[in-house]
Amino acid sequence: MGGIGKYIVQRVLLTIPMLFILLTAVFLMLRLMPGDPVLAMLGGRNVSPQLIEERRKEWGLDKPLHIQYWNYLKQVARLDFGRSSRTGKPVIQELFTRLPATLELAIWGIFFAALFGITTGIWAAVRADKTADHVIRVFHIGSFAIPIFWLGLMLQMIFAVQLDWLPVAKRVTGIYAYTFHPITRFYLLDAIILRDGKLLLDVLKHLILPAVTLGIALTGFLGRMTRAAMLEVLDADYVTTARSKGLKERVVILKHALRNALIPIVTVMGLQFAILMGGAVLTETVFSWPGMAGFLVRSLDARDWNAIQGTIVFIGIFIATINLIVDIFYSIIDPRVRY
Amino acid sequence: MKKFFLAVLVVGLGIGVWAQTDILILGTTDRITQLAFANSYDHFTWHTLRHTTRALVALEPGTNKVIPSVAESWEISDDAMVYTFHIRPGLTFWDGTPCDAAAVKWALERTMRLDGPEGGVFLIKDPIDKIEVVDDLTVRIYLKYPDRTFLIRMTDQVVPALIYAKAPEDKFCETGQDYVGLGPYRIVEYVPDERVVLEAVDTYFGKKAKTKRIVWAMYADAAALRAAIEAGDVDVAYRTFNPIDLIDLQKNPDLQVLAGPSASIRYMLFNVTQPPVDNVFVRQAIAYAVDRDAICELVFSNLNKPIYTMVPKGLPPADASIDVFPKRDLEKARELLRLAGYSEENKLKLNLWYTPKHYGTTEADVAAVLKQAIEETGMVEITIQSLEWGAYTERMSQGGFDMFLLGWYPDYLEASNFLDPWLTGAPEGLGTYFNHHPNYPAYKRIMEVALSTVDDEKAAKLYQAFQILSAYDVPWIPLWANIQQAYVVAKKNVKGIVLDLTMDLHLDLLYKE
Repeated sequence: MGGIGKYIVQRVLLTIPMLFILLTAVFLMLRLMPGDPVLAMLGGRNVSPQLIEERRKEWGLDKPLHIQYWNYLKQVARLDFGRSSRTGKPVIQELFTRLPATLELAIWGIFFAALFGITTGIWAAVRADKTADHVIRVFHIGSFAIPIFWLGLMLQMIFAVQLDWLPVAKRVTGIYAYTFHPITRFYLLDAIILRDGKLLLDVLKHLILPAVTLGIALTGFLGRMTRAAMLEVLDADYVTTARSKGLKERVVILKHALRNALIPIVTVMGLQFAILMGGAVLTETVFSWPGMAGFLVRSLDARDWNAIQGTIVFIGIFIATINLIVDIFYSIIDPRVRY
Repeated sequence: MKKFFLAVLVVGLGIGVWAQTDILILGTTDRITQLAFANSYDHFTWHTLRHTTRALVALEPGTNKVIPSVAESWEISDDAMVYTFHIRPGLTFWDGTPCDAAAVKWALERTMRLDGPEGGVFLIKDPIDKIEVVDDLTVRIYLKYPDRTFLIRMTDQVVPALIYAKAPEDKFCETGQDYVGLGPYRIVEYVPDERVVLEAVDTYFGKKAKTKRIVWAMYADAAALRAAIEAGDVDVAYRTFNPIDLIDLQKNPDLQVLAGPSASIRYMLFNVTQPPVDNVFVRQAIAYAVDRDAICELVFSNLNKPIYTMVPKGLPPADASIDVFPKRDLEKARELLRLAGYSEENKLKLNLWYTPKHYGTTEADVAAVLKQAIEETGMVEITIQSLEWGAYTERMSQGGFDMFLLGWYPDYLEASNFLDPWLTGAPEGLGTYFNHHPNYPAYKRIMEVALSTVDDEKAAKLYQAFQILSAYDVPWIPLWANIQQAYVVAKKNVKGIVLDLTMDLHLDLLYKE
């Protein structure tokens, strides 16, 4: 095995110690945190101390820490994150139920950010130090300085409550509960598969505000990155050569300059995915989006250790995979990159 | 051909309109934990499950009267140790399976056998000794000890008492479709954190549900729920709004805002073993200093009401609730503080603990108003402390709080359920450590005698004695009735909104005009 294959194997192997560290850190931090999962569940209720002890025993919390840790490692090695104490279901099942919602939101958030961030970044670079550039730069700074939850609420109030153009929250109108039976749980895809135009429109309308809210912070960041990267390559010799060959400015910008400027932008997009997951916590809350982030927040409140550990490790694996894909993507956008 | 398409379009639109009026969309910030009779113990899950099946007896909607349900009649032995229930003849589950005495015994025994760690099965399991099938339609339940609350524990308000069939023998139900019930609705879909979908069944023995289909849409928080009802995304919004949202929504001409009764109460507790609140004069002084009116006005815009006893009015037995705690009197508070050895120069230093999210977003404001009210004596200095719920319960059960805020939502509607938990039920676990108090045996005895009598008048007198004694010992200070949680906001065309004292919304009575 050579080249990219070897590189992928190396990266996957490197992911294992990273996940091991993450898993250990999460395990220890939860146990260091004040709060007992049994008491969080039963506290404030009329239950005897004996019952609380029984429950602690049932959940294996009466065992020494190293035994609990070893048992947990064995479980995770089988991709078994245990059962959620809050919902009683296997954590992995809970995560897979919610993953499509989070992914759908993240994908459209990134799509929005890429579309507006890269476009405005290019425009600002092409018109460097002109009025358009200044306006766009102000927009970029403003967009990543704006608090996500505030923006979400404002968009909700304006476009849903006042203007009544878009729905307030959720993924689909309640009326579809009887007629729409999701196949993939990616609702947009499901609507396409089911060839239901009205459903597709409804899902799209539900997606707009959360995706814009989530994507807007990344828009400014990507815009600034694109502008800087473009300014660097616009002065490069090969761009001057392309212009001197008489190529149209559009071709010079999009084919010669942008393609080279894309490498740092794509890297940033990959890394920003982790930040996007953080933003998803707020966006999912504001728009009652039934994704993983909301599940994590509720699990934290309930001291649902299995769910917290499972969700964080799952997100860790997910981000590692995204970064790996980004690395592989380099070779596609820049043929000079070889592994 | 054109005419044909036009006709199809008209019929299609007609069906669309019919379908829409046949569906009610309800919004809530509550969540389902587990759709398991033996492993759930929260308001919304219990609300959902009890609409899918019934218990031996029920509470009449909007009242506390125990009425027949699966059992058409019952007898209680003179010593209140044996309950004989006569099951309604011809009763069937959704799938046509007959519901007889054997089915009732199987359901109750299964629930008690599985007794999940997150469930409230102890509410029926504790008193039951054995269940016996007498004949096809008669089931007899023997108790371990006489318990006047038993019949109320067997109503459909207590989900472990529900009767169902065809559930997995050795594991909890999960999906809402892995059992058959006797109720007006069945669960056709449950998507976690997103929605639960109910559909009316034809086999229900009671009055047919007025709306064929109910969708509960789950919203992240009060702000999202408010926006959803304002934008018309939901027909009804229930639990839980912020007070300020309710005040605003009351001004909306397109909406109706209705307050139901609420048995949910809020109060302050003391760890009676921890100085300085181990001194009864200190606790009595604080009882005189708290300002319930200020809390209700400043924090809850008068949506909640002050209370002067832990037992809500109207609960059985009649006359069990009496106002025993004093109204605000700062002079009296100062007098008591002086008796405890404190003065303007030598101030009493106390912590007031609260948890910021578990009881809604108003808790910090409540703590601030309490601090100000108590410090108005000029002889007390309060430090407000907060811990997130997980840490709060841990510290509370370890006796780590001197003075702290808590709330109670009843397991069943009987006065004892508002008196027993903190003082004689699980006093250490709930942070009062009242089992170390010298009067503990007296409270314990009063409660034992009261619970073992079937005589309502006698029980009421004993509960009154319990409350009077508590106003002297002040292990707790009742503060306000949590009516704000029982507000329903609905579109004007929604009718049939009936709320119980348990804050249960009767879905089968709801309809859209």
